[in-house]
Amino acid sequence: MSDISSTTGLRTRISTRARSTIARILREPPPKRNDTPLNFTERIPNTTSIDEDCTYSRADDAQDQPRDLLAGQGHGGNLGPKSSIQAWLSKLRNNGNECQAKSVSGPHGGFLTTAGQGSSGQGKEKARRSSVGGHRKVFSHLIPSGFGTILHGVGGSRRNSLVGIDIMTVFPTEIVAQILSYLDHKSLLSCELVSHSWYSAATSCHVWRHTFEAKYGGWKGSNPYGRNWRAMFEVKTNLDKRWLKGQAHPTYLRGHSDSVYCVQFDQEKIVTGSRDRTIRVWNIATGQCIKVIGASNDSRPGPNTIGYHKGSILCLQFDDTILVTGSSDHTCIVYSLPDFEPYLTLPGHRMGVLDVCFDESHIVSCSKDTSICIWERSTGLLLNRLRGHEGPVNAVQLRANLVASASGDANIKLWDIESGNCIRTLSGHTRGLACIQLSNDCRTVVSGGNDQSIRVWDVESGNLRYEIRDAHKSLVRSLYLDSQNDRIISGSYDQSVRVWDLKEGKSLLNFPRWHGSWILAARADDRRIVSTSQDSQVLVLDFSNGIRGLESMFPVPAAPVYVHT
Amino acid sequence: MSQITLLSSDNVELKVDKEVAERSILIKNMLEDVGETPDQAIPIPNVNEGVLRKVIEWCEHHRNDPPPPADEDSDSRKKSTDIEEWDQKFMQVDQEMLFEIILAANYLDIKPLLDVGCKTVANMIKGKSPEEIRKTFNIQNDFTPEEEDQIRRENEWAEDR
Repeated sequence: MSDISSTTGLRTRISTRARSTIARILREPPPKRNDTPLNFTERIPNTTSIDEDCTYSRADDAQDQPRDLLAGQGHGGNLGPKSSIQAWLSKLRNNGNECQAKSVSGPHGGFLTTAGQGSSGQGKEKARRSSVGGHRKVFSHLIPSGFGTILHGVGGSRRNSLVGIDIMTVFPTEIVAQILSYLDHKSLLSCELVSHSWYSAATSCHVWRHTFEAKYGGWKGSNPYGRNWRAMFEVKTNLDKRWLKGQAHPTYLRGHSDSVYCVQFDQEKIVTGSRDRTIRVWNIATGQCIKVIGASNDSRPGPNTIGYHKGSILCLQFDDTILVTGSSDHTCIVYSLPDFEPYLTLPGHRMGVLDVCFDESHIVSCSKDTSICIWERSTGLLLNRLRGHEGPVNAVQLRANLVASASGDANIKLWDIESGNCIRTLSGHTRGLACIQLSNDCRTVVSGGNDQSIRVWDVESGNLRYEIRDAHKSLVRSLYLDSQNDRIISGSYDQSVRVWDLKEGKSLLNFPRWHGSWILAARADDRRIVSTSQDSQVLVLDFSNGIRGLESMFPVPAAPVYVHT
Repeated sequence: MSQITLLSSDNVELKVDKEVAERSILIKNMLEDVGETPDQAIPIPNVNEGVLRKVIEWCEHHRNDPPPPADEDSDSRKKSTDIEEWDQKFMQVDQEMLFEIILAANYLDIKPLLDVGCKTVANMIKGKSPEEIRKTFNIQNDFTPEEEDQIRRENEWAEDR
């Protein structure tokens, strides 16, 4: 659309220019090196619709007026010539063919005929005739590759400086797109209201991709082509508003019969682990429980020779291929996905496994027995045991080669996973720690615990960046760091879930008393917070509920992956 | 310093240092193809003398600039307000000349000049209402009131509330 309008615009200008050129040619003897018409021979074959041409010629005719007339007209209105031109216009529209024929056979007939036939051969011939010598052949590639000098009066006269020129009629699509891509979204939305051709140009996906990325950075896990960046910008804006106001749609997932200690979710499913010794998988869209793993009545024969946990499920992590759980029965179990079949047990801890995490090659678990175990992911082989904490290790996180652990001894330790060496101890919390998070870039550690504060540390220097004092009125039990959105989600024994700004620690949202007891875990992504509680319920706070065009940003999974058992 | 001669569309010959002319990737590639410094004028058939002089002025000033980064994305993400002072002054010309410079930069393949030109135009649009944009570029509003209402409704999401 935009390219059509800009092409027709080009043509308009060209024909106006052509007219004056022709007039000049008629008046004057032809110049020796007649390069100028070559420009037009390149452009005019692009044109299509005579109607469009005429529509735009209003403005052009006005521009051909002497300057004193123009000054009187001001910027916007070319009212004088308009009506008569419109009459002329409608006449032309009624017999477009005739119109075209006329313009060819008119005073500039000779020129336009050349142009209309698109005889670039003739053009080249002219070029050769006006030859600059032996290099002509090499240089000639310069000539057809460009576009015409399509504005008039440049260089000397500047007679139209008072009147603006519509960029849609002057520039090819890619230049228009580049110009618009520097704009913020509000300016782009203004552009949409300028005219039809501006609307087409300003709604282009290419333009909105730049505007989206300038504001929000790249968008994870997606092919940038073929996405509707404008719709995504709208979704993100609406989501941000919901997060700002704390507008979320709550859904409670009921099924566990005891405390729900741990949770993780993706765009399809929520996985929870409970004191009732089961793991439940929920459809995140419907809230339905689609799988229960480790139920005491689960006696079906199967390939499972591992068995299930014989104690509470205290911690879990999953990716696309495995789920790892840790239990008060002192073990971890590894399950294959998507069938959730257990296939590996990790024995090694002497007391309950309090937290677990993994990457492509390692599984890291921490325990009440004060140690941290490093396992080989593929075999379940115990690679290393990290000792150093003087109390139970309540939480552990793994990013790149860095392991961060938080202990009841009130200390944070950073470890090198390959050597097993403790690199640094971060001290400052006054009571035992319950939770820890490492940012995606490994530069920031966030910790919380029994002193009711949240502390944010700089990994490089080991210094405290800031402290949120009295972040909660009781133990800070769970922390989740959303690096993409710079948000910290905290859950506490004071029964509230709170949201903090990572950069300054400013309080953003508070959800008090949405659970009837202690919060044990809380996680978030761009659109949801999912929290679990001692009250045996899972709460989904959905900030995206009912937002138009949501699927542009969060494509709906193609088919249900999980089968009800 | 070897010089070459450019021939504008209106048949004016302009002498310019080869190094300066080679800010244009089009000319640079062409000279490489030729393999020697040509003794004839190189025709630039799409650019007239006035515009060509401006473009050469820009190339003179930026003759020692490092080549632009190959990474397209990081380059294009720069904010439109990010125009150095000399370039801002350079771009203080009337619209017609500005647009001619942009078209010439595009044709001659001088990406940094094209970027500066596009940013300058973007700054002419930035923060303006549709009516102000129409005034700036002399555009007729060709929407019906119904179409305008429709677009405004579609864009309500962007309002601050």
